[in-house]
Amino acid sequence: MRTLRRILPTITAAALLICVVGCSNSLTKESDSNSSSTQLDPATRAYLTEVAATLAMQLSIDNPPEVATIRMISLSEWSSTQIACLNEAGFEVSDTEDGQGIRFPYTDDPALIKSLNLARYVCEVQYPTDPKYMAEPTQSQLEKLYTYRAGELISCLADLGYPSSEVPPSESVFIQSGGAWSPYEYLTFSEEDLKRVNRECPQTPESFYGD
Amino acid sequence: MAGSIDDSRLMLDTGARSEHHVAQRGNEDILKKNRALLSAVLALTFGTTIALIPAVGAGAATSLQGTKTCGVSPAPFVRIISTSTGRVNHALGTIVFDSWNNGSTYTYRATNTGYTGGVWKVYLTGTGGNISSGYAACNPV
Repeated sequence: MRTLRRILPTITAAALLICVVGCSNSLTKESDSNSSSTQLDPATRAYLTEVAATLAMQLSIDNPPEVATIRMISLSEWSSTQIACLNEAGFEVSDTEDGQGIRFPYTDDPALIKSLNLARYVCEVQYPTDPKYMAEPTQSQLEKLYTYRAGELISCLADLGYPSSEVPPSESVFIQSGGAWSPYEYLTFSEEDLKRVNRECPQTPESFYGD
Repeated sequence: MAGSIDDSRLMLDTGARSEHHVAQRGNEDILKKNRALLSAVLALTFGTTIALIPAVGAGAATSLQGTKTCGVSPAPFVRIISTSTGRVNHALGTIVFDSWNNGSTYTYRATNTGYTGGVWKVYLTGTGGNISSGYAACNPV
């Protein structure tokens, strides 16, 4: 395994480079050839350009490749889409213990980290999250979120065997914090229950974004 | 408090201003951002001095990090914890463990690292987002 891990970065980086160069060449027609991205309005295009530039800088990618948007995704699709994309690029990523994020291969190999960062960039740009999921919540949304977290969520967790003795903050404190309180912080879940709990008692209700 | 040996030093890495205070809870050393806190507090706990970052005003935190040492049974492993909006990442040293996209709602996330110590980091990628709390604790698993 150690030998494989030493070789893998070189192979993967080379494969990824070929893929990226090949893919970018075929996509230099940019978004015009992609029916889903031709639907993007100027504001969304500008937002996605900003996100791409920021990601490149944060992931230390000099001269990021041209990558066309394949389709916008919803927040609930983010982890599964990115995991599939990264797996296709040759990286052994999986879901997190709570089933809602991406778990990366444990490595401190600079070459592998560099190639993984490039793949993360490509996948995020190919499948960007719809900006509506990043818009600051309205007062009304925060009020609904408070009602959910201080009520239904606590009951749901108790029904699954995780009663919380933590007293929720007042609604005004919750809203003033931007909705930063969650009963999850005061509970300890067993490893085998984590995915089920997050699925059946999500911290944010599915209806929050009006999906 | 069993299993918690802490020599945390908080290093705030953000271009924006943030407020923090440290509180002791159970076997966890917690670094939390409190927008109402306007002054630094020194606390002496278990022979360790915990330095608090003075409050400098409300703002978005894009990165938090500190040093955590565990390694003592029954909670020898480092657990990285955050509450944030946006795309959040948990790392220990140069290893990035997990990444989530919390969207615009603050969401609590935790990573069991399986390592006994190191420099933990909670940071955002992409645009937007805010870390309201980020810390490390010692965990049995």
